[in-house]
Amino acid sequence: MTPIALEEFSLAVHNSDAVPLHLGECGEGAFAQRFAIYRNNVRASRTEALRQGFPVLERLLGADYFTALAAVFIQQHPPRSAALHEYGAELAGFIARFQPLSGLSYLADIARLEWARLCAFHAPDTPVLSIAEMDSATLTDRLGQPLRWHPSVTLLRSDHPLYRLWASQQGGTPAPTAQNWSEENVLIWRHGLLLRTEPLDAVSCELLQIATQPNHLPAALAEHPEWLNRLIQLLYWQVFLAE
Amino acid sequence: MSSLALRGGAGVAFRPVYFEALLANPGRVDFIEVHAENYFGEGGLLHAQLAELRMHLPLSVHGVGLSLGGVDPLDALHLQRLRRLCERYEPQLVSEHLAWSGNAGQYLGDLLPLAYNAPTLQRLSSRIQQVQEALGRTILIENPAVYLRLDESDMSEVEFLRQLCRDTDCGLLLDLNNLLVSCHNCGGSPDSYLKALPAERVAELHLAGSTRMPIGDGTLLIDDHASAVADDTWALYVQWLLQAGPRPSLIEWDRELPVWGILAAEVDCARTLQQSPYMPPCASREKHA
Repeated sequence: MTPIALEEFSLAVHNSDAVPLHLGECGEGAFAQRFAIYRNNVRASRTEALRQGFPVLERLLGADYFTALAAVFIQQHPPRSAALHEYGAELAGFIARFQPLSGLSYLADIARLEWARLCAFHAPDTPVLSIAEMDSATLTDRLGQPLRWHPSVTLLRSDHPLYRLWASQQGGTPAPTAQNWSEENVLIWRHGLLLRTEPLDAVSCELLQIATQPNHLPAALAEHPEWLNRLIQLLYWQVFLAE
Repeated sequence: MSSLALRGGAGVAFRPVYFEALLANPGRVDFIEVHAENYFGEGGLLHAQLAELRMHLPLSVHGVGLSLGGVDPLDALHLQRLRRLCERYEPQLVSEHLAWSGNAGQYLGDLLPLAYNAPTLQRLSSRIQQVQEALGRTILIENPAVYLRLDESDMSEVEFLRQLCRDTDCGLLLDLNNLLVSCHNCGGSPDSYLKALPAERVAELHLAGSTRMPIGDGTLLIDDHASAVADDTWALYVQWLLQAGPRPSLIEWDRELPVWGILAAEVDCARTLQQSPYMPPCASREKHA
């Protein structure tokens, strides 16, 4: 098979108009129908990868709208890797710029949240800082040194009630309304093997940030002893690296 | 890690939904197979499950995205991840497809057809050798399910595979369902195909279901991995067993997954036929004969 023939075939399965009839051995009508199977497979596998990675986005948009949106996205951002669970990094940015959805700016944040969950699910198994294995002197010493986040951790700060929007699609909790629409921060990470998505208050966000700076944590705790509970929760959640 | 050699038996395409059932009774199957690319992530639940099962069961790593038939240089990162996966889990079998799936840096997500001719053979041989050198082992090449034959082809698929084995020393993964699909869609006799194959090179078999799609005056067979193994495929399996003997045989069911009991029953069928290769006449074969 010549590189030119392969290029022609490739362009034609990716785009939806032309069929490279001259490549086929059978009659034109039959070739077009047969070629369409490959084109549909290509489109379906890419759309399915997005569907699996962004289920809440699909629920909020509706299946038909999601499929149509995916078709536009795929044309602009085709996958570069055969590991299709890594497909969709650009989806949030694409949605943020997608004019017909400009009135629903929380949708881009939903895509960011779902992308963070995908990344966390596949992140490396790196040893975490575990308070269960430390005495208080060792812990105090460790907290004086800068901490690093586990590679599965993403902190999202949203102008929208991002956690409640997402959680409402998991069943059991009501969706936020105009009356209680407020900004929320969301922490996504893997707690052992468990993929977690939790709302995070301002103090915990601040603690997560300052923990990465040398000696900031002890100073902050001396000034705000009431923050200790929040820090213990973050340590219990295993969001920091052991080293 | 289970280091049993695989000379026969039946296995399943592993999905996380079957983890508990398999862990409770690993002996229910003889091996598991995973798609390599699904394990290109570094950690988390998927790897924890696979590591646990690998303690008890032989493993086949089946690649679907290396694009062996493509013209882009082989993706170095893809190859590196495949090598790391093999080092981590020491699979008994490693396989890829006689197909291409990417071009100009874009992954197309399907196994696309090749023209069977000398230039393709030369390109594919050199790429298979490159993979075998990178992995330090021979790999198996799977015959594809094809829906059209390209005009540039000037040899049969089975002849192409024969020459590929000779040139690269690779093995074959014979997908009996694909064989039926390709013969139905593009012409050729399954019987002659089986007889022309270098049986000693075949180290694994795939068994799956398919669907029919109307086209023009006839039908196309579509390989969808979404149903029980078709009767025609079981019949061809019996023919293979009588002709060449057992090989590790995978029930390939990737979509619309059945409950564990149904998948396990398919494994039982394959195991039973390996013990006693007899297939009663069945309605579907007579209808489509």
